[in-house]
Amino acid sequence: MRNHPCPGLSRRNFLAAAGAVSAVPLLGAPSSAPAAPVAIARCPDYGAALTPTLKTMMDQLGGLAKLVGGKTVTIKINLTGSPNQRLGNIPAEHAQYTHPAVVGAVVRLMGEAGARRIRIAEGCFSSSDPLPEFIMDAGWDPTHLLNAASRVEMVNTNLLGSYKKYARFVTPKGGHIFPGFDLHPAYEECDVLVSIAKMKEHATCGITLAMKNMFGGTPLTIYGDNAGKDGPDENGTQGGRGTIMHAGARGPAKTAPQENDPKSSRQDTYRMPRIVADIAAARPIQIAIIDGIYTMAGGEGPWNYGRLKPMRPGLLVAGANAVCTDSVGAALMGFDPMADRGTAPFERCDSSLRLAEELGVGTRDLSRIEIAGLSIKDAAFRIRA
Amino acid sequence: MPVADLVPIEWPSEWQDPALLQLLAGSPVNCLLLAKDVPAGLRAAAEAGGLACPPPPAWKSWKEIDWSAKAGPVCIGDGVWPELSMKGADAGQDSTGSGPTGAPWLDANGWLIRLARARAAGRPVWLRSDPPDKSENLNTENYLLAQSEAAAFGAVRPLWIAPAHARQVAAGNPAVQAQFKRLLANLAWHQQRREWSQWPVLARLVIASDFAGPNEYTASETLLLAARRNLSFQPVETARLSAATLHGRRALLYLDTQRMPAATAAVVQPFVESGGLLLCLKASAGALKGLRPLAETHPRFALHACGKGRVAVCSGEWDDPYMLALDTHLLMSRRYDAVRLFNSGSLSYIHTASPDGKRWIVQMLNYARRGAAHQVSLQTWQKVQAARFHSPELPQPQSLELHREPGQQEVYLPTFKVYGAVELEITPHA
Repeated sequence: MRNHPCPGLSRRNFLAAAGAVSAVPLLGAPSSAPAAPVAIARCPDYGAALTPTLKTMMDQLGGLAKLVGGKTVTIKINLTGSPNQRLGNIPAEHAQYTHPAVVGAVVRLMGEAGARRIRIAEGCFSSSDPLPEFIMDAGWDPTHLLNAASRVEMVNTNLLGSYKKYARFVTPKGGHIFPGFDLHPAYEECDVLVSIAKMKEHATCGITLAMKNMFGGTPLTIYGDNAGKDGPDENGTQGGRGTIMHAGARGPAKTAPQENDPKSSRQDTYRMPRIVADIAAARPIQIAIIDGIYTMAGGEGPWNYGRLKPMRPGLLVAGANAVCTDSVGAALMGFDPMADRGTAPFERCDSSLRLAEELGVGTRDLSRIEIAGLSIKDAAFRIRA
Repeated sequence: MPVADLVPIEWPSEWQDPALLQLLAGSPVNCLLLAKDVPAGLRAAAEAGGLACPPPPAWKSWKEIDWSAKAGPVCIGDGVWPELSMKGADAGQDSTGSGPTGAPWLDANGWLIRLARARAAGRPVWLRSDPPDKSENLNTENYLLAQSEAAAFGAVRPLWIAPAHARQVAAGNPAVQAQFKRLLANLAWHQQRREWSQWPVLARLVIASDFAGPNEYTASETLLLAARRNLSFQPVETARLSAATLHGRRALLYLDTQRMPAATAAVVQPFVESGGLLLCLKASAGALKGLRPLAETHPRFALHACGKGRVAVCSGEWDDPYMLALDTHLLMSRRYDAVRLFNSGSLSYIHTASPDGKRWIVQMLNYARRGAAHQVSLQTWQKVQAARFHSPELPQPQSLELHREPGQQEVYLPTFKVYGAVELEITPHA
């Protein structure tokens, strides 16, 4: 592992690392999956230091202007669960939700870097509400985000809205569970997909970072508990994604790609890491950002059982490859990204890092990942402390 | 004794001994609803003790109430036992029913009391419901919730206890007698704070209908589901819509299927032109002038500008009250929710403001009847000077620390099983 304080990557390298999906056989040698640098920074809170810190990180990764100038950007944020639900009295953004200050800072930086159009996207839990209304229920004021740059929109990707059809994304190598996904056109129309995740553990995936964040991009009308059977049901946005995705109790709407093997294990700890890897391969993330400033330990939301508690690691992580970024994120949380089922954080589940690596999305081998800013050693903490 | 001051109990038929009247000593109960075959000595003793013993109330379904009557209480006999509904739950599983809102379903009477108070125009609203199955399994919190719900929303629910419990009280079971005393103490607590439920409800939305005939189902279901969304509203009979009833509101949901009368349109037109939102059917939209189609689209409404306001015309019929409540909330915007509760899945609330506007009271009912796994927080974008938490479960009101964030303030509430109220002292506008 090299600690690279300011690598100043070329744009070519940046984009290649971000989007490349190599032709690695499904169970082939993982070490050939692409690597990309990851920036780590300390940021104690969501105050004035946040935007400059993020800007420095983006500069360390090669600079935003080259990547987003004149481009359309979709930013997938993480608003898992109901906005009404909190870990005790702790606001959702201090525990399970991406903090709006991080979203706002990224939007602002994208705008300053010349992004032509910026969309903030989320498949809101059990909801067809417009995203600005959904986040008001969390106590946020959406105007702060909408005014952080010019031409900013918000979209609830659970349903089509004014669009006519969903966009098809094919999983390379056929995928582990799904050979492809039908997602909101916002994920197709963008030149740059940004995943802003929260640094958390997860009940069925061990960890939830930039890749797992994209699971919430699957539209409820197709993959939700009340999804249509023959096709998307634009009124079927109530409920979560437990029935089809977690449990595999039925398939998604028939117009969408169906499972490769409906006789495969129905265990959520088998399915979910694979689905996360499939999505990451089908719609690669160009910029992965992990909000580890404030977070929670013990699970992905207040609904988990056990040792839930708020934490303030004071960290930001960003990279151009989601597997690399998540692997660094896992390491910062005190886990070995090379671990697999049976070892923390994957005691009960398979590793989505390995599964995505097998699909050629990126490497989880820290020795191949350049680190900018803080070293992992200096920044690591124990989320299970 | 004025009927508005009556605090009644449905005197258990098991309590034949006049000596049991002592149970009420020191309590606010001042009225006995006696069975027909009650011993004459009991009635005489009650009356001698200053207790009113009026004829049995004429309990009716709310759908059969004569709302035009000028005097006497409105006696609604088909309320529900308030609880977190177990309907739809699998037998033997630790689960609860869920309504279309996705939140646990609540069997609640708040919407009905609000409707009755709006229609009864000043008459007291009394409410009862048939005893639940296996009433002997009711616990103290069940009774407290029924009492507190009625009190919070401004109705009178005669104190009632299950026959099995009445027998235990009469037999001198100290534990059950202590529980009965708690019910009396709870009644007294709410009696001392009656003004809270008499204050105006802080609601940006008016839901207007004649609440009768072909409009009855949609109107009542919409009130029910709006209440479950914690969307604060004021029900108003169509015939009583006026500039005064629309003053200070953001939106009017006009539910009647019949075309809006010209006199009503004359009231609604200036409300919309000055910035209000009207949601209605096509027939009623035709009663307004100056509508201009907006480019903004909606799956179930055609949107029009009218002066500074908007008119949302339903594309078809009102066919889904849940979606209607949801659409209304979103078209009006959650921005105008005066307060917001977190971890409140099993709660409903009513929000009133003192006539001078300096105090807000948010009365909350916990239909789960046990402390929440995660504490409840209350957020408002209104500037607040001080906050206190009141509950019969606490010996004294408790001052709440204000957590101030840009543009909003929060208070963190103590755990409460059944009922709690937050009092906010509002900062006057500079």
